Amino acid sequence: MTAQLVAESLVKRFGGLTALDDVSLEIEAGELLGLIGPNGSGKTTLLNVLSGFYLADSGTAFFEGQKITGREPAVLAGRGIARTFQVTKIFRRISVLENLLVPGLVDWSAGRSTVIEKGQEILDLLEIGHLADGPAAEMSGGQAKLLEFGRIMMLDPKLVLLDEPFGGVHPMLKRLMHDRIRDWNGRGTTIILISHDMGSIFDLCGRVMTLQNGRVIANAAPEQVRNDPVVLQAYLGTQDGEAGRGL
Amino acid sequence: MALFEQVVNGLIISIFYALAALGLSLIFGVLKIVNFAQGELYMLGGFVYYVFASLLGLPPVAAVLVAFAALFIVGALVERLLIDPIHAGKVERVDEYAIMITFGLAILLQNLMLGLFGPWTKRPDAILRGRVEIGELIISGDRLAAAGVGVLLIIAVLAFIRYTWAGKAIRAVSQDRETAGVIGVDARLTGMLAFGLGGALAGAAGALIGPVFLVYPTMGVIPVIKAYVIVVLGGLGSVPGAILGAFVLGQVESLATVLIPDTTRALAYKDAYGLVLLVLVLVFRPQGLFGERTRRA
Repeated sequence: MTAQLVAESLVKRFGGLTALDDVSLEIEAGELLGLIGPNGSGKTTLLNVLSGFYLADSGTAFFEGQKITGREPAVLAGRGIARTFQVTKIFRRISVLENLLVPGLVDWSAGRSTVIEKGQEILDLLEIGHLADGPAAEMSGGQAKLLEFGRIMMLDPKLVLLDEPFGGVHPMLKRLMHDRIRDWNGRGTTIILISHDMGSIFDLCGRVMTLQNGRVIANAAPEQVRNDPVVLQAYLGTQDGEAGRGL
Repeated sequence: MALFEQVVNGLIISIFYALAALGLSLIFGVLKIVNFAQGELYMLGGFVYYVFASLLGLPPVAAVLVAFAALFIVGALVERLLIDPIHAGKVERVDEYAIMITFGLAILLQNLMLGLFGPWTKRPDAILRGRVEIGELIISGDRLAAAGVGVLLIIAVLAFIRYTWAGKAIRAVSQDRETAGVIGVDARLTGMLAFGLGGALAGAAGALIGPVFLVYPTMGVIPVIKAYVIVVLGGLGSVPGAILGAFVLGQVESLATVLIPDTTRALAYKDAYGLVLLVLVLVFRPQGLFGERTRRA
């Protein structure tokens, strides 16, 4: 079976810094891959290359057999690749519901009322339906994260790239987000999840890939990665170091 | 009565200002560049109107619409050929490039029209001749009709931005170009549309004001300075700010002339009031009435 997403030897440099150093990966359709690594290890850079934000210096990525490196983000969104941002990005000066009705998200051929109904249903599912007509600028940080989620749901994407979706989110909202991620994945959506929240990573993901200094140092089942001495060293800094934040 | 007359005059001139400033604001909002050739797009609108209404005999309102459409095409082409390289990552010093390229375009267009039509002023046919009397108030027909068409155009553009698919794309890209791209909005096409619309509004303003203040190659120089004052006053990139700013400037200019009894001297100082207003806004509220405070990293 051919993998849905294939990246071959991706390299991305910023001046003298090599943010991605020969990174390759394969993801089957419907997989939920966790992407972890210390700060500055290249996780977000990888997402930026896969979503068309950055041009790779070398290497190629394919989605469903078609080359995606070098394509505009809007083109990739049209092919079913959606993403969220580490720092939440919503359209603050329009209403919450209007955030879900931005043109690229919406196929208006379905009819205006159908589209609005879909938007409202998604907001209700995320338990922010009551805020639909209010300005997005007045949402809390957690609610804005949910709205970003909702915006992706409007796209009905095949591949979702989530960058730190749980950062600064209340535990109640986090549970809700876990449920939505599982629902999505259960319906066959492929997901790459970046998070420093190891509980969430090990709870949700079927496979975990670890980056350090732009290189893949582990790519295995969560249990294996949790006990991998190379991964532990990457997180703790020294092999016999003092107590630090483990996995 | 003199005061009331000044208020009405201020309102009428505000409509022309709003048309010109709205275009500038739309372009800045979506593309984050200041178009220094906006005054020349306004001038081109005046000439298109002159050619179609006076030389080819088209009905004046139809000639305004032709100017609107023609300048939409000119604006869209300017964006695709000269501005798009900024967003295609082909330009390193974006701000400097945008200033130089639009400033150069302004000089090119002025000299092009100077070569084609000469430096002499032209008075195209007015939409409505004569004058209109409302009680004791007397307004020239050309101003009133032009203001009426201007109001309709402003309402049409606001409705377009508020209710249409393309208008939603413009609002999304003006708030966050990157995010709009990630969710499938073609930001380059939206930029082209915004520049086209900005050009069309400037062209319509030039066409409407041509019969009142005459058409000549440098006619856009002073109005565009006023448009800059207005967008700074309202907040760069803010559409409601541009409209409110236009009305504030129109009233300030109009009412301030009453302060000096000698009308010749009063009119000579008219343009200065806007600049005083600009300085005050920059000192006390640099983000304008509707703008947001931002800091560049």
